[in-house]
Amino acid sequence: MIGLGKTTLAAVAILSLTGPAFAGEPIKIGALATLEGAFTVLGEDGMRGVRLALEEFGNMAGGHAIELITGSSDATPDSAIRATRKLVEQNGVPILIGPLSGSEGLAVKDYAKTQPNVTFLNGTSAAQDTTLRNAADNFFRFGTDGAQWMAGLGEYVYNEKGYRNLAVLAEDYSFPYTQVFGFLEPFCRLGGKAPADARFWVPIGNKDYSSVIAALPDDVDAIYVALGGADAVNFLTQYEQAGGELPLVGGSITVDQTVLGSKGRTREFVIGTPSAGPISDTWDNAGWQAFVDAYKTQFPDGFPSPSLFAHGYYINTKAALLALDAVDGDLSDGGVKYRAALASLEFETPTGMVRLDERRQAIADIFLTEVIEGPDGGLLNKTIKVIPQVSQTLGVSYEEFLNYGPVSRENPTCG
Amino acid sequence: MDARRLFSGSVSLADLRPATVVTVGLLLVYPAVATDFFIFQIGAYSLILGTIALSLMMLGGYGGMVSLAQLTVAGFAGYLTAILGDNSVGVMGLGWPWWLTIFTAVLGAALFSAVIGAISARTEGIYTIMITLAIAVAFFFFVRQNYALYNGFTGYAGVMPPTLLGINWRDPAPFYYLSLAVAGGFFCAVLYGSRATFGLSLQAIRDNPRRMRALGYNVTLHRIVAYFLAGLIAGSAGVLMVWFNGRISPGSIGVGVVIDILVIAVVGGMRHPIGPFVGAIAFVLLENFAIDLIDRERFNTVIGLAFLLIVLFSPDGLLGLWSQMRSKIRLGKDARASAGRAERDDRHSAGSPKGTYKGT
Amino acid sequence: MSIPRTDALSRLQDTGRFALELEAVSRHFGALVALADINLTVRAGERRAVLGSNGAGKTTLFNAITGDFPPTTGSVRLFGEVVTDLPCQERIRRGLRRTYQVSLLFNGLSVIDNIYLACRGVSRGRFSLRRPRWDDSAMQAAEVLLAAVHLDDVREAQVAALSHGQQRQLEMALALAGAPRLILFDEPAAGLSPTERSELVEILQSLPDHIAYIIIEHDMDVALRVAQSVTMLHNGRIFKEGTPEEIENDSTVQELYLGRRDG
Repeated sequence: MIGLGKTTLAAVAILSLTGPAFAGEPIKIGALATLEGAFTVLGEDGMRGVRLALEEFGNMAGGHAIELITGSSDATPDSAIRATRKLVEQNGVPILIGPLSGSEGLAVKDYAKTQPNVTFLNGTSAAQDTTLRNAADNFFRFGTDGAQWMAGLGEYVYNEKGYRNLAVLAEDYSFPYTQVFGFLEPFCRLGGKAPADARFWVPIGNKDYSSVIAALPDDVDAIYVALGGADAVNFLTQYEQAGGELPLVGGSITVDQTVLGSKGRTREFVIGTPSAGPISDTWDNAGWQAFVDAYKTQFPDGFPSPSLFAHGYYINTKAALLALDAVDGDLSDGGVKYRAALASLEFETPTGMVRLDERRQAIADIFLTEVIEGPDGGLLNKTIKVIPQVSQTLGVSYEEFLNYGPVSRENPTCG
Repeated sequence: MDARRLFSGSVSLADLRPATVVTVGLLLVYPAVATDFFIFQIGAYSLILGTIALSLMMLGGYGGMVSLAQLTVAGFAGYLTAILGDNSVGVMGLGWPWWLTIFTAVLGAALFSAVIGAISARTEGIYTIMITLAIAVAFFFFVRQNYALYNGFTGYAGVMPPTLLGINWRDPAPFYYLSLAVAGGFFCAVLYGSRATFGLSLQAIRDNPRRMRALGYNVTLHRIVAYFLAGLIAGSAGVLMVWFNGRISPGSIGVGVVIDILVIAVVGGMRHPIGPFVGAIAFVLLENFAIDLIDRERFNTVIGLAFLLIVLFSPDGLLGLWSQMRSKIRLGKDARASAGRAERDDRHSAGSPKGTYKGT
Repeated sequence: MSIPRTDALSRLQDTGRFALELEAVSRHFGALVALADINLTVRAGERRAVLGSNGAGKTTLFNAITGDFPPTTGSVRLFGEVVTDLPCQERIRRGLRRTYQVSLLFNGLSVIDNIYLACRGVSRGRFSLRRPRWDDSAMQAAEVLLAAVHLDDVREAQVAALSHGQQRQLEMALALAGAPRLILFDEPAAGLSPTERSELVEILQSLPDHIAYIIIEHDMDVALRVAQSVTMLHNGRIFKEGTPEEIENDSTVQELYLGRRDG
């Protein structure tokens, strides 16, 4: 029995080597996003990004038609792996794009090591270690990670806003750790303070912030808030009712449409809140505007403007297709040439140039924004500054960056 | 074969021989004909989920205690495996030898299950469901917040079975046979145990706990022991589960997965130990392929509808559906054999004993 | 507290004169006084009937004795031992049995399994994970009982499929299992045909002399034929005690209870 199983394994391996090589046959691309669970809406927008890129290429790359096969997870690593395994082992996709969330990305990266002939491109998962530590040779990320997204924000609030002492309020899992790290690292290096006892970690979906609000120190200049939009609204409402008056600094997914659309006195807090991320809705740039228009045309039922999830999936899909063009759709060597093409790929995205470092991690532009009141009275994120070509190691060498240690609640100490 | 005797568990080998032989044969040759994906992700995973649901079936079907915490028990064993054995995240991973890790994980899970039993044994029906759900949810939040022992949101990765006898037990075929051995072993044990003294007393407690007390049984203790035994089953499946996924995190034991186990047991049927496995196969196939049947974002609706229809048309799940079909066929034959004879048409008819017993 | 594991004989030897002694037993349900100050003794081997109208407290009395609903105040002594604070199963293991007004059987199990569990309940091996063998002592005792209550032809039938009469017989078998010394019968004749009633009376009369029982029965013919002594309950209190003849001839009793029945 066991012998038979090994034979099957070998047969499958050979098949996956030779499978999609015939000229003119469609090439299968798998796309994995959270089409179920709490992040369904985000996953659907990620899929729009994939379709947007395919549409742009007329569903053809390297002389082959592209067959898109979707997979779904519920944002848990277990379900992401099961969906990935199904796409790779059952549907036989040689190229897979996804997943969406950080812990899923770490799991898929580990799985990628067991499938050396399959090429993985990240969706929007933004955990640092997906490409920083124990990277997989066949896992590529053309989007930036959660720490890169914060580039420039720490310097900005220290130098321009003049903040010296901050409290931190964030959800208690790896993505906010990464954001807090990316924000505090330069802020604390400049001399800012945000000690561990001024950091508050709440579960995702937390409803009651009264104990956090009561414990917030009085002697800080502002609060850095890294909560998802819905959680942020809950906090802001309760903070306003409790009479809080401190200014805010936002994470990349904090000041989204749910927060900008809020009414009443909460608006007062929100105006002037700086944040940073991989996109800026209002960036006055022809490439970006064309991207937004294409999105709106193709998906009239989508968001008013593409989210960073549509953006991340779009960029990675586009990279996959560009590299297919570069090798004329030839994956017959188990994707060796294809991955070499990906590694040296450099292209113009709606948010500027993107290229990869030696660990297949994107170096790209980051947008520093601040909430202002628009001409129609609505709130919007104004682009303050574009931070060009931010690397994963935030400007220091790889070895030096590793010495900072993995992201956690206490990193950096910043006492 | 008498359907009622099948469902009450009193099946001797002679009753089942042709079907059993064919089923066992198919299960054994399956890896030779299936792809790795079907061996591992469909075959082995169905067996693991089926085994966890089997522990629920044993408590619910025989004991009348529907515990939603069985996946939690399995998860506890999975966490223990990652904590006591080896993992790749650099937290805990005490590096105990594999046999001691497995032994402790399964025994720990069984004791955990017994504690859950002690908490919930004095409740009945919907209250048992609620209290065990509360335990499952509490454990989920606890492991997500606890970093020292459970490594919080991230959980553990890189948890692999040992390489023994020169075989990598994570390879699809070996892992399938490992899962089959565990699932088959517990299936036979539950089937046998259903007619053992303890199994009979558990079913009697389900039917009438008060009368059991009046016959000299310590009902609460019996229930706790049942939870302990169910914990051995769920815990063993939990070790397989963490090996299957290679990882465990709070999402592995979240409320959604907890409900999945209930769905598997209910859809399969809670009256015979084969039910959970039938339910698990149906569940795993739908989970993997529903997205291909309807190429839309809302494929979960298909899964939900399929399960709703099954439960709507057969309160006893797929097993009940099967026995309904059998009884219809049999009724048809009977009608032909003795034309004009009125037949009972309720779904229990196939199961009621031959002839009637009047008075004395 | 230790579980007595002696066999029936040695248990008989340390038996006191009384099978049951109730001292000032009361049972309240909120403001309702279901039993008030009951003093009752039943000698070893005595057969006693408890009579009374609906709501007189007869079944509550049984529940207080078995521990299903322990008494609010007062003490219960079984075979000379105070059991007031012991759970139901511990009292059962000391030789107490009962039947229920409405059959409480294990509907999902077969007749023989019902009786087997009743025999197993007062012996070792209740947690055995092995199937009982035919030569298992409890299984053999079950076979004997099965024949004694004339249910051998429905041995494998599921209890849910039995007739009412058969269920009452099975109820009886469960009470007789495992060397009882005091049995509480709660309206065993309810719903039985005349033939079945006379069979029941025969069974009760043929019980071994060392078995004491208390019987609640609305059918006076049955009750007075199988009882040596009678206790009348009224509104939760003992209203009269005596021989069947004394009770039958008591004018107050006739007025309160028998009269109404005949009328």
